[in-house]
Amino acid sequence: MEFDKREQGNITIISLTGRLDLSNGGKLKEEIKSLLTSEKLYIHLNMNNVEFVNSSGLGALVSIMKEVRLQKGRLTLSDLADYVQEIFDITQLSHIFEIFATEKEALSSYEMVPSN
Amino acid sequence: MGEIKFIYESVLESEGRAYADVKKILQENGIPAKAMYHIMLAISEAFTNALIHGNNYDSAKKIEIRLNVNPDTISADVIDEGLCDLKALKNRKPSISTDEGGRGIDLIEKMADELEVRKSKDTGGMQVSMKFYRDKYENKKGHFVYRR
Repeated sequence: MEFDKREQGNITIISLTGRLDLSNGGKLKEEIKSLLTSEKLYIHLNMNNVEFVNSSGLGALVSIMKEVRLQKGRLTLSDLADYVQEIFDITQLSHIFEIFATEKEALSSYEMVPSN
Repeated sequence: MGEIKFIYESVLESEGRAYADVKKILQENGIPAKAMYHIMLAISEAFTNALIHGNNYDSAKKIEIRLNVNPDTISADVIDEGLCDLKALKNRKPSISTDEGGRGIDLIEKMADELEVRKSKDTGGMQVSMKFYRDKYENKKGHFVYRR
C-alpha cells in the first residue's frame, strides 16, 4: 500500500493506493501514529485508489479512529469505491466513521467544526 | 476448468501472493468485478484466519487454496494445518462496532452462497469450503454448516 501525504491548513490528507488488509493495515496504523505524535490531529483518508479492504483493514481503521478520538482529533474518509462502501455497510461501520462522497466535501466539513 | 491449487507458507507476505494468484485466475475466467470482489474478500478472510488462528504464523505449516471455476459456480477451499478448533469458531461472540477484529467469519457468511467449515481429511486442520453462484443475486440461499 502506498501513502501520498499532503497538508491543507491543519488537516493532513493521505491518499491511499492498493490493498488495505492484514499486512498493510499495520503500516497505516504506524503512519497515523507518527502523525498523532507530531500533534497532527486532523486526518483525512482519501480511499479513491484503494482496490481492496478486508476485515483486517477495517480493524486497522477502527484502531486508528479510536486513537484519533482519544487524542481529541478527527478522522474522515472519502471516495470509497462501491464495493468498499458495501463492506462498511455490511459491518455497520459506516455509522461509526465519518464518510464523505468526495474529499472536497470532507475538507469543507472541517471548516464547520471549530478546531481545538 | 479443473481444480487449481496454491500452497503458501504461513507468513504475512503470503497474504499478498494469495490475493494476486486468486485475482489472476478470476480475471482470466472473466468473473465480473463485483462478484470477483466478493469471492476475493471471502477467500481473504478465510486465509487470514488460517494464517493467524489456524497455523499461528508457523512458517513450517502450509495454507492451501483450492479453486474450481465452473459454468454455474465458483468454489474455493482454504485449508490450514492447525488444530481445527471448531468449538471456538462456533462459540465466538459477535463483534461490536468498536472491536478491531472478529468480523472475518461474518463477512465470509455474507459473501459466500454456501459455506461449510470442517476438519480437513488431508491435513487435520480447518477446511473452509465456500461456493459462490455466478448468478448469485438471483439464487442467494446461504447456509453455514459445522461438520465434526
